[in-house]
Amino acid sequence: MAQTKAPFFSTAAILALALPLAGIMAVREPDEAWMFILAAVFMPIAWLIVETLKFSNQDTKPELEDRITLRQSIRSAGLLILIPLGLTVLFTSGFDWINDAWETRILGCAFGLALIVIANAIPKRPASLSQGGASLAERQAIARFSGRTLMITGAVYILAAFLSPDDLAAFVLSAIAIIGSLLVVGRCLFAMTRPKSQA
Amino acid sequence: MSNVFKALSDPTRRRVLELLRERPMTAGELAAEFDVSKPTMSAHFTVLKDANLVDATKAGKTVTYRIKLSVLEDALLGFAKTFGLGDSSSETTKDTDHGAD
Repeated sequence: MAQTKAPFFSTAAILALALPLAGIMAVREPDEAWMFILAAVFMPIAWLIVETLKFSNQDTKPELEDRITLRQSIRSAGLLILIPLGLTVLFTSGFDWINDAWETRILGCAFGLALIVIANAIPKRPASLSQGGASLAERQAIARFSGRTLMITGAVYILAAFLSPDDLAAFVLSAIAIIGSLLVVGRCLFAMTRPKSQA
Repeated sequence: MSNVFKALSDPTRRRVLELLRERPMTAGELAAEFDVSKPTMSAHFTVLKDANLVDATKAGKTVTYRIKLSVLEDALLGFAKTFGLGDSSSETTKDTDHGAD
């Protein structure tokens, strides 16, 4: 069984930071409060859904390794939400000398770096030996593809944050993040629809 | 990090990683690919485990090895293979097409 280390940024720490940060932003920007609340509740809701729908069902209950991987994925997503949330709170705290263009660049740089670090570690987790789903070789290939794709996405995201015109920055950055995510989802769907070639 | 460089500097260990990139394999399956003694193979596995590049899972008497390469370590493996780091040592694989050049 693969050894697991205590996470660098624990789920409890992410939750403890995300909820008050979202609260602050909801008060500061009441018109967009729904967006910040949605960001803050993503992780606990995702966690609850996974715990109740997948982990509690004895027939489909995943192995310990798969459970750890699922939880790590939720934690990584929580971290990717926490970074822009924290920076938005910072930017709305009276730092007038940081203009909108630099807010986008700093945010893009922080998000892109976080994506690179998280993506680099994706294939580091060994493929699960549990039965079902894709073959072991396919699982490894998916992890490699996801890691590389998201790492490139992170790098392109940083470049775009600095190079794209101010009025188009939000659109360009969103498009890059969506394209990267769709490529990974597409690769997973491709593996799911392909017949299993080997155990 | 020096453990990673040490592990990747040997063509046999690189070949082990390349085989594991395809799919997880048992110690026996891996050993069958090389013309080296079991203690030597075991030593290679130990170096790879110390560098945290492979995971060894024991089920009964069978040890299954799985690759644990980050994106950067994977790129480093490709780099080491391309430039033939440590290739001065003798070829150890049975299949000459799969040499560490």
